[in-house]
Order: sequence, then structure tokens, then C-alpha cells
Amino acid sequence: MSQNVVFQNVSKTFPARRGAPANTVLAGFNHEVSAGEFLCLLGPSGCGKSTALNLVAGFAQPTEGKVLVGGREVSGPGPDRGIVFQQYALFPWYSVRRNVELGLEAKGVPGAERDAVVERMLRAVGLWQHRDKFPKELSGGMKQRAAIARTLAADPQVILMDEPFAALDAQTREHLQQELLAIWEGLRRTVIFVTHSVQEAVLLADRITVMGRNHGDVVASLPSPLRRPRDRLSDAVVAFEREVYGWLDQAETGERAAS
Amino acid sequence: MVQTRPPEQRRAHPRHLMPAAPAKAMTLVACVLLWQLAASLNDHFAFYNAVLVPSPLRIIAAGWSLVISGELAIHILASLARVGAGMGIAIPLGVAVAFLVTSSRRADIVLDPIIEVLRPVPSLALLPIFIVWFGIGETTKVVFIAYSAFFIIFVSTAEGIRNIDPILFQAAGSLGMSRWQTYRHVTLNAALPQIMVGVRLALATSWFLIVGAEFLAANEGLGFLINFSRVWFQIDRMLFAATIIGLLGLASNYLLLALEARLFAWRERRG
Repeated sequence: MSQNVVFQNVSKTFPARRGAPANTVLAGFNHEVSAGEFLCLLGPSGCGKSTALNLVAGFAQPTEGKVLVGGREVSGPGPDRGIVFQQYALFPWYSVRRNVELGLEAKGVPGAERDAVVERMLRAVGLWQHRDKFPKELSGGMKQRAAIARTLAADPQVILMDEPFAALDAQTREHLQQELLAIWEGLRRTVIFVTHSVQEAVLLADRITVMGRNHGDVVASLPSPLRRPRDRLSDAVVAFEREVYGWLDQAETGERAAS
Repeated sequence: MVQTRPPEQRRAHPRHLMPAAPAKAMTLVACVLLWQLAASLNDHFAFYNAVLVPSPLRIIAAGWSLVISGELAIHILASLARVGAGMGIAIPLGVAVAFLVTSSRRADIVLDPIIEVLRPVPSLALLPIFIVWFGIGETTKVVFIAYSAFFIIFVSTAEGIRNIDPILFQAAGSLGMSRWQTYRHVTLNAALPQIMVGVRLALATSWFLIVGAEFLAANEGLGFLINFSRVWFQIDRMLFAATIIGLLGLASNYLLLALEARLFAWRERRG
């Protein structure tokens, strides 16, 4: 089952530290992601999109307001919300297979079923023949595939992705975008995908939310007019990219006007 | 598919130890040969007191008689048992306290100041006090080693835990791991290389300290052998015992390094 995600008047202020004043990243942030929706969060760096993701993941608590997943308030990290990091965050001391198995083990899934799920996930990301390797033996793209398999194996209701492909070369990134879409179309889980790349957002998203640097205000929330599968070079895709770029520019200039 | 990088060759031994090792061993052999040459010349031309500085051959002869009589084995085993028992207490205790202090604020407030006050006191300074408290039996020596090794393992482990990338704990939380599963799968594995560094340092220190303890309060052990031989002016035996202590320390260090290379094959090699 998929679940919706609601930000209810969410504020997040990081307290002052030596040499840095208190920093309000989000102020009165309201937003909703529907169940099964693929949402891309786009915005200039420092706009609070990663903070919003961390609040859904439960890695941080909002200073004010609530984050609701499937109607229940988030109070900490949990397996109903899987996350894929830009830095992979694989456990380097475990083989690929063991990494993918851990979420199932944590859930108490019995051995035989666990093996079956692990095999299915690793085959889905094309890593079955590399299952006994350590993460250090994998390329960046393969590491991210393993991380995606690990997250999906735990069967989360909501999948959070924090610039997952930003560290990869262009070709690998395109491959992984396609693979992610193929897997997502089979699962139809809610996805919140943070990215810097307009092309990536346009290719992947059902809806693109553009955030401004002014305490995470929503500059635009743009339902994608594009049908799937999408061709990167088609006129419709390029036209939508142009529109999104326009909003992103506005997010940047809005920030300049505010400061 | 993305192309696979060929897996790095796994080396059985840490790289920095291997290539120069045979050449470096030759240096030691040459030193011993020169010493023996000087001693042989001294037999004819007597330019130093051979009783104070026995030749390598005499040291080996003295050592051999200790081997034959079975005395050496008794002394080695006695020292080994004390170091082993002390480390056997210090390792689990040091690791457990480090886990406690790094995961509970309350434990940190209660334990950390106590540890930080005791840690800088050289444990040799406390040995006479331990003798008064625990007598001159085995207890004193084992407690002394355990006490001294504890701090080294604690500090190393705590530092290892504090340096774990927080993203790994976030990943564990999102996979639904419980506190204990996180300890087992993340914290312990991530800190293990640093724990092993602590174990190696603690072992070297323990060898150093057990000899001192056996000077003061023992009826066997390699430290006792040296001190007892001093009373009888058996300098060849003293040097032999010192050599054995050095060799055992060296061997245990190499053994642990080989174990680490095997245990931590997953580590990215830097540089």
C-alpha cells in the first residue's frame, strides 16, 4: 500500500551555534504528496528541500507543525519510509546480498522468504551476479543500485530519494533513471525525490514542486503534462523543461529580492 | 549494465610490512654476527669484560639450558596467562563501557569524568597499591593488566564509535533496525577496526607492564626470570629473557595485523 505525505504548517529552525546564527530553513511549510505520486522537489541549494525530506524520514523533528504519513505523525525513522542517499550509505562490511537482506531481517521476515525477496530485488537492479561482492568492489552506479535494492526490499510505503544520482556520470545517471521508473511503475509507491536537475525532474515526476530560498516557500507546484514513457528529446518534454526553468529562475530571483 | 571495475587484489599482509621485511631481517642478522665476531676477538685480546656482556652464543647456550629444563616454558606461560587474563577482562569491559558512554548521555556524565581522571595516572604508580589491596598473588597482576589495558581499549573504541558516519545510523533507522540490531550490524562493525587498534596498543603496553609487575611480585614469569637472574649475576639469562619478551611482543603484533587484514578485507584502501 502507498500512503500520502502531508506537511502541516511545518517550521524547522536550526539553533545558533558558535559562529553561526540560528537558521530557519522552513517556515510555515504546507504541502501534500498524494499516495502513489512521484513528486520531485526542485530548488536552489539551501532552500530546505533536503530538510523537508529529513523530516519525513524522521531524522529530524519539526520545530513547529506536523509531518503526517498516511495520517500518522512522524516521530522518528521507520521502515515504512525508505530512503536512498546520494552517498549510498551501504554497510561496507557486508556483501551486497547481506546489505539488501538487513531490512528484511529487521522486520523478522523468515529465512526462505527473505532469500526470495533478496534475489528478486537484486535481479531487478541487475546485481544478482555481483551479490557476494563488498561495496568497495562496485562502481558508483552499482553501489546506488544496491542501495535502491536495499531500500525497496524493506517494502516501504514511501520512498525518499535525496539527490540519489547526483554523484554519478551522465550515462549511468540516465540508465538509473530509466531503471528507477521501470521499478516504480511496478510498485506505484509514493516517491519524494530531491534533485537539482530540471531534466531529471521533468523525466521522472508526476508533479514538480519548486521551492524558493525564502524559508522553503512553494514557488510553484506543477503537475506534469507528460505521458509515460517519456522521450528526453521530444518537444513536449523540452517545453515542460523550459517552463520549469522559468519557475526555478523565479525562485532564485525571489530569493535575491528577499535578501 | 555499468561495467565492473576489477576487484582489487586482496593482500594477505598489510602492504607496509611486507616488501622490505627480508632485507630488514638481514640487518638484524648482521648485527648479531658482528657482536659474535667482537666477542670471539675479545676471547683472545680481552678488550672488555665478557661477564658483563656475554656473546650471542653464550646467551643462546644459557637459553637452551632454560628450554631443556622446562623453566622457560613455565615462565612464558605464566606471563602469557597474566597478559591473556588481563586482556580477556579489559577487552569486553572497555568495549562495553565505550558503547555505554557513546550511546547514553547519562552514562557519559557519570562515567566519563571518572575515566578521564584515572586515565592519566601511570598504572605502574598504582601497582604498589594494588599489591597492598590484592596481595602478591595472581589477582594483583591480572587486575593490574586489566586496569591498564582497559583505558587504551576504551579510548580507542569510543573514538571509533564517535567517528562513524551518522548517515549509516540513518540508513539503519530507515531499515527498521532496533537498537540492538543497530549495535550489532552497524556500530560494532564500524568500530571494529579501531577496537583492534586499541587491542594491539593495549597488548604492547601489557607486555611492557607485566615485566614490571613480575619484578615486584612474582615467583615465575619472564620479568621474574630477569630479576632473579640479576640476583645470581646471570647476565646471559637476563638478555635471553629480554629477547624472548621482545620476540613474543613482535609475534603477537604481527599475528594481530594479519588477523586485521583478514577481518577487514571490506575496507577501502586509501592512498
